[in-house]
Amino acid sequence: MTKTAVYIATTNGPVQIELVSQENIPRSQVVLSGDFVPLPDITEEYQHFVTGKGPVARAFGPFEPPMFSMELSARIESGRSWHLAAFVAHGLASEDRLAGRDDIPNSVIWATGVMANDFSVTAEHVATKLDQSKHLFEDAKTAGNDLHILVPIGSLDNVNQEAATTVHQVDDAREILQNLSIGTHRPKDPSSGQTSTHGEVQPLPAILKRWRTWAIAGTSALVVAVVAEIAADWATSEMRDLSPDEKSKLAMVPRPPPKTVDVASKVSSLSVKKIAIQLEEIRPSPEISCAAVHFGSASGSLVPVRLNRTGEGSKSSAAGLCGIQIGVTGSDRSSDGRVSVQILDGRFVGRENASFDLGSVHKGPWRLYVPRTLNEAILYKVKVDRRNGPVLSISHKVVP
Amino acid sequence: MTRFKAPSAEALVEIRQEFAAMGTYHDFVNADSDEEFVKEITMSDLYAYATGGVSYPNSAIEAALERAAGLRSAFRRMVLALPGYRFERAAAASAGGTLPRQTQGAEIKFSPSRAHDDRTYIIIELKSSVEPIPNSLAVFDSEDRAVRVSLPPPQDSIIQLLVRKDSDILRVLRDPDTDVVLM
Repeated sequence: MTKTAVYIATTNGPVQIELVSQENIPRSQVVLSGDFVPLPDITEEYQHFVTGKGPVARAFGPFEPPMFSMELSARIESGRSWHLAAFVAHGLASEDRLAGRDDIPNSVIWATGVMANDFSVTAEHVATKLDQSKHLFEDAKTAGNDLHILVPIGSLDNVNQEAATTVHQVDDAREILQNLSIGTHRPKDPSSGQTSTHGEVQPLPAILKRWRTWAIAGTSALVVAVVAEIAADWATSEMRDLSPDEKSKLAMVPRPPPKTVDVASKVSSLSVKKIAIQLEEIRPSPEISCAAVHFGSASGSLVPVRLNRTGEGSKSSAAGLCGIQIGVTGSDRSSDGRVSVQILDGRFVGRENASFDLGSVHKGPWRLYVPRTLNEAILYKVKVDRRNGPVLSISHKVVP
Repeated sequence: MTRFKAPSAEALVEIRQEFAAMGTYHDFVNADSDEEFVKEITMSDLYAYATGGVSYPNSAIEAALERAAGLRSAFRRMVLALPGYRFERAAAASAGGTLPRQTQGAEIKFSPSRAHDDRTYIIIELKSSVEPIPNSLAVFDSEDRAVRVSLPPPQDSIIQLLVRKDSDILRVLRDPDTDVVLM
């Protein structure tokens, strides 16, 4: 079974949807992966998004049990543009095709879009979100993953894209299900069998869907032109089979020009002055205890914390863990910025504040020590704020 | 014949709190002399800890509570005297699952996660509104040791937590002889 990793594009970087599961709970919820408390703002909206008249229930439901838990790799601070990615993730999960945290995906979907009740999609700050996703695109390219970029129609300009990158510009979220071969079935309205009530939309006529879907794959503008030409020929032939009513509906929908995005140039331009945050576990050596490390008489052994593509470290077990060493690699005299730590849960030894500054990127490494007995997990985020570049951020959890 | 006016519900709460406070003071002055550190925790500190004025967990207060049984007993009485939801003890021990807890206006239920074999949902349903809205769940065992977890704000009067099956909070909730309080 091929797996697809789905990322929500945000202005703070991509956030992976690591799990969508049906649960026997009274309310659907969104949680940070591995955490136990629902994220309040997004959870409130998610409940309506997946149940009742929400898009997920209408597109893929009904479900039993009807509630879901969706796990994210990082917090989403604000905004509603997670809709489109969540919608696609639900479709993939219903076919067991959604890649989890530890799965190696065959393809990657990067999506942004707020969905309305009629499945129409809008989005803002798309360019910034692309900029913030450079590492994801680089990783997908390195891993040989097919990369699908899902955005509302009209949100990207210019025609030029890389091989293995497909840009889907849609104005109806359901179109993307067809493009990505995600099965969907909609419950029929009991009164008419087809039409719906209470603002629920009718399924698009097939020809209309295909007209308004622009899945443009290729390596150059030439391919785009060929695709457009084929589409025009195909549409002309399809038009012959339409009823007068369908033709009149079609005539009311302006056909947008084919659009792609210069993903390659956006990715490469973001690789300038590459610095990275490095986390390492400090573990005792065979003859050196954590106490010796804590009191500075020994340095201990360093074990790198593995990072995933969204900038999240794999969890560290507190068993035998003396602390965490934080460093910044790739920084030189031309680099600027400050390194800080934000504590989201728990506490390091001697660090009472919820956030604290470590120093300039040129300094370090810095050490944070773990209490000898850890009852509650420590969840924290290391950030590098740079004057001339995007904010780098890594979250990491130490578990009892 | 002696006649007196019965206190109102509000007055009764105040009386209970004062009674708990006096009991706490009694525990303080009678604490063992070798537990001087316990006396560094003032009664107002303990009361603030019970009411949320001092955020949980506070290492100094937790250390004092861990070492002094009298202080733990006082703290438990103080918490139980506060307005809020206090749940009935579970009917009987359960061989497998965790038994639900009920009280007037609230219920605690449990549902195993379908996605994570090692985790269970704690589901708190608030059926009536009690101010302030509870922000933590405390469970006292037979030795007055408390396990507390912070709660997110309720949504549609429901609070959900996904916890590990081997977590402390679930361990004590599994014990039918524990007192459960929403604070």
